Amino acid sequence: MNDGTLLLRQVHPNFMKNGALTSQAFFPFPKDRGALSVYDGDQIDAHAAHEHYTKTLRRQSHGVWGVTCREVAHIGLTSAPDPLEDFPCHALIHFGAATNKECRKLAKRLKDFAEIRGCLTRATRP
Amino acid sequence: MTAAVMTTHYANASFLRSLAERLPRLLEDHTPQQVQLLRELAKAEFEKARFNDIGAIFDELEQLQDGWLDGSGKAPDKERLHRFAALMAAHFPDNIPLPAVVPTPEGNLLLEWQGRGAPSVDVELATMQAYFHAFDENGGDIERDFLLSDAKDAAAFFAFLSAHIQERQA
Repeated sequence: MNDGTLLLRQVHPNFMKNGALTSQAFFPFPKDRGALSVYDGDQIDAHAAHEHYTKTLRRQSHGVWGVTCREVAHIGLTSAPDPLEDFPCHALIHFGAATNKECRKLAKRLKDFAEIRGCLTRATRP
Repeated sequence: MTAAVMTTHYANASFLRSLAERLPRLLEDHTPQQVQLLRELAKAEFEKARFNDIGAIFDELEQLQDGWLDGSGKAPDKERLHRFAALMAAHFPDNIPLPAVVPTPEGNLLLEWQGRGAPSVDVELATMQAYFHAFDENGGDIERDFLLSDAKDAAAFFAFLSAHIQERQA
């Protein structure tokens, strides 16, 4: 992973409204303890990541949105590879000890970056 | 309720408002009372549309079950959800658009508007605490905490949204 690496985030359908992304898509889940799960875009593209997430892992994703490691660093967060045994291209964006209020602001910043790029799997959406 | 019903109420409101504005040109012997009546009818239609939209948003949220987020994700408590929906239906200002309302994994709500400053409100249903955040023109933060414990608090909260979000969209 380097500054230009695209970090791919799967967005649950409930975090989209009328086709628009909400910042909840980039808010760390409680179970992930201050980290946001992403795919390392150097290892897998958005469509393959979506396929893996929805078909292999059998989870729900409305689409894939991306931010770069540079954008993550720009707002004071860190990102790092976090390969799992059955999921080698897994990576994390670390929010550290940010409070919920801080997480909301950071999630909005990430959402802004992702929105500029647009949904990376738009062609797969009906 | 159906999309067709919502569309009809909004369409009626729009038509009645337009008619109120054009009445002086259309009807030489019109009275100010007639113009006012059209405005009031338009307002009533708009409120019906808003009520339907808010109902549709919360109907959808009410369908959530525990585990909605791929096995995790707590469903919002229905009684508390009804309480917040009732506050929105009673107080939501007609000069700002309805926000996207999405569930959070903890069983709470995020209200978020598109546009400048990205205004949002995190609502903790168990305590009825609401946290407003928006970015200002310099990228700084505008933040305010509210406690929606009664109708008076709720009115103050929605009045703040009305003033603030209207101001930011101007």
